[in-house]
Amino acid sequence: MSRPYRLLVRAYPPGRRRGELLDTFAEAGRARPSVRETLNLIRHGLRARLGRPASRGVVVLATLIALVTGFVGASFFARVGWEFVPGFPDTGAVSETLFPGLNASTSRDGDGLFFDVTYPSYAEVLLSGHDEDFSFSTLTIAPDGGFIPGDYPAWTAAAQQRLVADGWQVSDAEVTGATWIATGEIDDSGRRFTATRDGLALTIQTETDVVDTPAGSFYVTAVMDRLTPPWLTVVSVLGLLAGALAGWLGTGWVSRRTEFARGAVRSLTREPAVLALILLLPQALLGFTGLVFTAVSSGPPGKPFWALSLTYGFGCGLLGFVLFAVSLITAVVAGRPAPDRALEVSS
Amino acid sequence: MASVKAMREPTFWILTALVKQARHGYGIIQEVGTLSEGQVTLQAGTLYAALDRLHAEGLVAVDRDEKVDGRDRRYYRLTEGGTAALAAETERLARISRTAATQLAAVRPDLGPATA
Repeated sequence: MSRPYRLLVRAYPPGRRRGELLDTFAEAGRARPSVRETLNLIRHGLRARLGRPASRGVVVLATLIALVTGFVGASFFARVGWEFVPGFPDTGAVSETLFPGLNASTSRDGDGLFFDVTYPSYAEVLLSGHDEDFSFSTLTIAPDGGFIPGDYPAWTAAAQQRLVADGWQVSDAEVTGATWIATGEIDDSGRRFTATRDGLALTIQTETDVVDTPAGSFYVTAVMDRLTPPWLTVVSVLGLLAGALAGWLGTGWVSRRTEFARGAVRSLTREPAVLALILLLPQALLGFTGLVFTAVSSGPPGKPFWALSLTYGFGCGLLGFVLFAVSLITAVVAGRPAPDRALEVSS
Repeated sequence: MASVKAMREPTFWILTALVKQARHGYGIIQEVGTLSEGQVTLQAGTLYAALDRLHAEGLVAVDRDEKVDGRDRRYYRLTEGGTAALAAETERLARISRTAATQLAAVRPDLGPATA
């Protein structure tokens, strides 16, 4: 039998079915599978992996679990991928462009890729997650003292021109300040705009309502972020697919192993998995929303798309994976490989 | 009248192909092609998914296993439940066909139900 068919039948779980399929193709004189045939075999092979052929519930369960594990895969691949994104450059040239003739300094809010005010170790993150302010680390460039004498709208326009001349893509400046509740109008007390170049984003903010702002001066900061490279989105999607496939195959393995088990064993695999989904699925769906937003947004990512799962959602997530582990361990300990259906009915 | 759940077309043809004798996968595909006068071409993936489901529902059973040129070959046959399900579906299809033909006869007498 041709190699493509031998590869394709591996979509099915190990067992006689693979041999039956190869016999069917051999008898039909098929040499190479068509695209339609390939998709048909992959689709039905993945379904066969779940066992319980008359059940639709197992398909729904496997799909939802694949969504969760897909999110985990996307997060893991993206996290590893970020390690290969170039770090922040020396900010001397940018400081000179932004604040010509002034002494400026650069400060960093996190030592590594991320900022967490509590600076936890990896072990602490695994046990209790991150602080709620967990985000990508940034650089802040500001003139010494923080204030610049002069007119902030004029300075903003001039700074935009200098950045454009230096090759930055600059957005329009927006008016910032307190909002009058009665009218909804903004009390014009500052400007904000962003500039991007070479995978970096600058967010420049001028303000006049900072405490102790000298008369005729304004406060200014420039925050530098790293943009999400397009290739990292591709890596995240690959991680999503790998994670989803792993979740589907894992669900199938547990399902087939407990298909003919007694009621208590089936309950101990099914109920914890359903509870785990209640805890994990909302986080996964919100995470996917963040992944899509990061992919289509041209601005800095701020927080990684999996941030919720490591902050507010950490406890639920941890409990969810413990429940998944209960299902898995039950299948390992109390489950049995599905018997050959040929021996069941022959009267 | 009790409602009878409609059977999917591949399922209907697979059960029909097994009425006279037990058949293996390719035998079913061939028989379905013949009985449907080439109108239905079963994909192998679709066939075995349906057989798994029908087996789980007790409508088909494994008849025997054979080894042909070193290849695994399995024959499937209709169970009593499968025969009953196919008969019920055949009756359902005949009933709705008669209803449609009666309605059509009102506007196209040449398409009406046979009276001979």
